[in-house]
Amino acid sequence: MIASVRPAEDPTVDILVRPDPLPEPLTRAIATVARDFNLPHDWMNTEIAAQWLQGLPPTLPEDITWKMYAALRVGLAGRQTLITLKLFAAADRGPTSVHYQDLVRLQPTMEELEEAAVWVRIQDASNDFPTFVDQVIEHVHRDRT
Amino acid sequence: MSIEIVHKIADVATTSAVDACWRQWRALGFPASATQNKEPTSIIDPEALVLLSTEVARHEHRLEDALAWWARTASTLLSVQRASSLLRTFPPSTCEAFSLFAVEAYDAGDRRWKRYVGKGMLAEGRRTKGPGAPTLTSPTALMLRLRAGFGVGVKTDLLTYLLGRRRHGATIKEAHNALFYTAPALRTAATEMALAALIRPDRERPVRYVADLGLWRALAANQEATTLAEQTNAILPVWYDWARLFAFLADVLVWAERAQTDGGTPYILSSRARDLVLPRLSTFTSNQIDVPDPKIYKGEAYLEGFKSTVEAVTHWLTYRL
Repeated sequence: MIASVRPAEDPTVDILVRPDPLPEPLTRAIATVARDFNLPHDWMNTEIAAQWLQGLPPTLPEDITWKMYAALRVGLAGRQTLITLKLFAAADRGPTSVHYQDLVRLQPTMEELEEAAVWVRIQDASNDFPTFVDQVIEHVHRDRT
Repeated sequence: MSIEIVHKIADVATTSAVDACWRQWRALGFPASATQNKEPTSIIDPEALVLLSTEVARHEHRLEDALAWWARTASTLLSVQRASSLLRTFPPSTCEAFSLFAVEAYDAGDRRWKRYVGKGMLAEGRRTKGPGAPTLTSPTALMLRLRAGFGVGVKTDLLTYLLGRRRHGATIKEAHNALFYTAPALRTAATEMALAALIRPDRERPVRYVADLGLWRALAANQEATTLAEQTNAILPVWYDWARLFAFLADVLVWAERAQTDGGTPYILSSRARDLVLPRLSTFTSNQIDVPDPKIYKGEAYLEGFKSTVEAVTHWLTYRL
């Protein structure tokens, strides 16, 4: 979970904020869904919330699709944001990670990967990191074909 | 598809609950035509019967007559403390409807029910149906019979329970799960009853207590067993966890009613169904009721598993009652 929404004075404006800690009702709902679908208890988590300190993909604010479920409004991160975050996580965790597999399943184009890489390359200060990012892109290009 | 399953589950649960109530009320002397002629053979748990009837009366209004009859003729044979403990395992709607029973009992002079009277009101000009007193001579009425003889309390109920457990006996924990009295109260009762040689502890840890069947068989068996041989061979009624199983049935009725009136996605219905089943898996296991493991169903697929569970419980109940 990337963000929560803080109500603003202007009801047409959404202010995104760090999602952690999750509200208690949402934590219970996550646990219920995990139980009902045999998912890991932390299938929905706020791990990505740490990225608020470094900065989130610039595409995020404009790349959200809002859906209403009774009183619950859910913003689903769009495709470009997902590709960006998955590319970052895959470069960080390696090609055996679930994030890499998620990235392949998204079937990103080279244009989408390159756009994502611009932001991902500057998220880690180590000299090797841009190389890892390029390697992931190469793997994805190979594995999706 | 899901609404068809809901209807099916509602039908099965309602039929079973109505049948269970009438069979037990009839065994206690209330004039009723049971859907099955089979007499109950297990020990009636009176508080569980009253609470299930309270819930089922919303579907089968004639049960209100049975409840009113019991409230007027034999409410003093019920344990308020135990009813209070059992209520916590029944759906909230049972608690609300229970105030009507309390009003009737209170009006008949049993002041112990005052705290449950609440906003319940007696219907104007209502006439109580049924005989002037219940029949407690059936073996299945053992718990009420012993209460009528020795008083309503933990020792009487523990003795009933241990007689119903026959040679298996029970630990304090098992007795607590079945009777809903506190473990310390049961431990004190068991210790004193063992001192009186009414029950015997074994040498295991945790201690199992067993009632001396030879001592109580003639009383617990059918009164028609008059000769020594008949009394010795008489079949004692069995104790089953009707309180927990009846609470499950009541929950299923409420679940189905809510599904039929409020709707909800198949997944929401299945998730609520899991809420009812998961805390009771140990009850099903200890009573050897074979229900499907909820974990093998993902999401809304559990509606089928829930239907199988309700069918298994109601089938078991029909033959064990």
